[in-house]
Amino acid sequence: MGCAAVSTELSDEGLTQTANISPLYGFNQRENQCGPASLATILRWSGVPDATPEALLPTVYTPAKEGSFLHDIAGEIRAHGRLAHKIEPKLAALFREVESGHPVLVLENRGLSFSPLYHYSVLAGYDLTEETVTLYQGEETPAKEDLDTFSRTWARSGSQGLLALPPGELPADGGEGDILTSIIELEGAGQTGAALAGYKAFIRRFPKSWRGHFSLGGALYLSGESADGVKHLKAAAHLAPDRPEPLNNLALAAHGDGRLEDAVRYADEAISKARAQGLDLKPYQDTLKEVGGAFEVEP
Amino acid sequence: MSGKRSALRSVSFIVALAYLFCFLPASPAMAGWVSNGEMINSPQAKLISMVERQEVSDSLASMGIDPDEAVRRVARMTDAEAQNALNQLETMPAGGSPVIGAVVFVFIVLLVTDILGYTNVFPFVNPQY
Repeated sequence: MGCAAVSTELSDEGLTQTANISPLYGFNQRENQCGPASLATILRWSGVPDATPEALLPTVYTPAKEGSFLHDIAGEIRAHGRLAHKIEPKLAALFREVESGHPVLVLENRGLSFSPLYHYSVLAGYDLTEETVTLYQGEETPAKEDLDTFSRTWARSGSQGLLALPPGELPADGGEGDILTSIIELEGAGQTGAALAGYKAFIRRFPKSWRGHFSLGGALYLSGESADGVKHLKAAAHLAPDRPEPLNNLALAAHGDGRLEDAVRYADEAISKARAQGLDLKPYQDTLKEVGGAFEVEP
Repeated sequence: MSGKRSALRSVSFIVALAYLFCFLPASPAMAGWVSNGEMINSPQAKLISMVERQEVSDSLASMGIDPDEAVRRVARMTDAEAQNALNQLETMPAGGSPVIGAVVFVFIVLLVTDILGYTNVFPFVNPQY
């Protein structure tokens, strides 16, 4: 496939002809340390003003491999309260992010499949007319590279691209479930505030997603905002009448509020939905025991 | 002596308490509460996430299938059915090469077309009309 084919295909996807996010903060990298340097560039863009390759080195660089693993980089992004999201492995998806102003940390294989030479850099722009991409690749200023060459070296690495987004900002593209999973991973890393901002943005984009309401409801409830939490858990139960998860958590929330009859009713319903789904009933029966036990003690 | 010992005891109690708080997770887990992580790892959620990907929905659209309808149909599968489909996927050769990615992609597209009754590849799928 020649240059023309790549750029024509991308124009057909409805992308603008050119996009450029600049200037970003580029770093002169030391040998083999393209991971920390690229990470520092996207973290600075996302609003972490003091990010430097030296400070990031200990957590993302694996000396034995003389390089960095993408999962370590993603973990470090979350540790800074930023949303780490792996984009879909398609050139159009990659450029869509740049078009929306999101720089992307990309992995290229500049060698060959049987003799790889991996390199991280940050994609900051593209030009479909000129057929070039703009990359920060270990120097303070960006460099332009041939679009066709880049499309091959990126595909040879398995088309991997990672975003680091500020709280409340979502990827421009991507499936509902994949985006929500990234926010849940941010919550799992202990970044409750950033995750809450993410869930709120998520249900603005996908207002009918029961999983979105469920996740926001749970995070609100567990962070002490129980009334708002219950509101979103109820929305989830309403949007997904066949699912036991929202009812299970509503049962425990009702129990916590002292609404004991509601708690038992929710827990009973959760068990019957779980049975219809063919799920393991044990956790749902335990919930009933939890809320039902108290019901017997305090009639 | 006993005063010193009881002072020591209360200090160790405070230290123990401090440790307890150190190891509490950021969002306190509640007994029986379904966490967001557990929810998104349900078989149905995993399968839906795959069907929602651009590559799959583009391919379905090119066959004249509405991708939103495809997601709705998969959402009507029970977790047991979704788990069955995921088990079939797991029996395929594992690895990170783009070729294996293509195998997974074909599996997911065929799964959806089976559900919609366009194809009849997998015996474990009952078409939903």
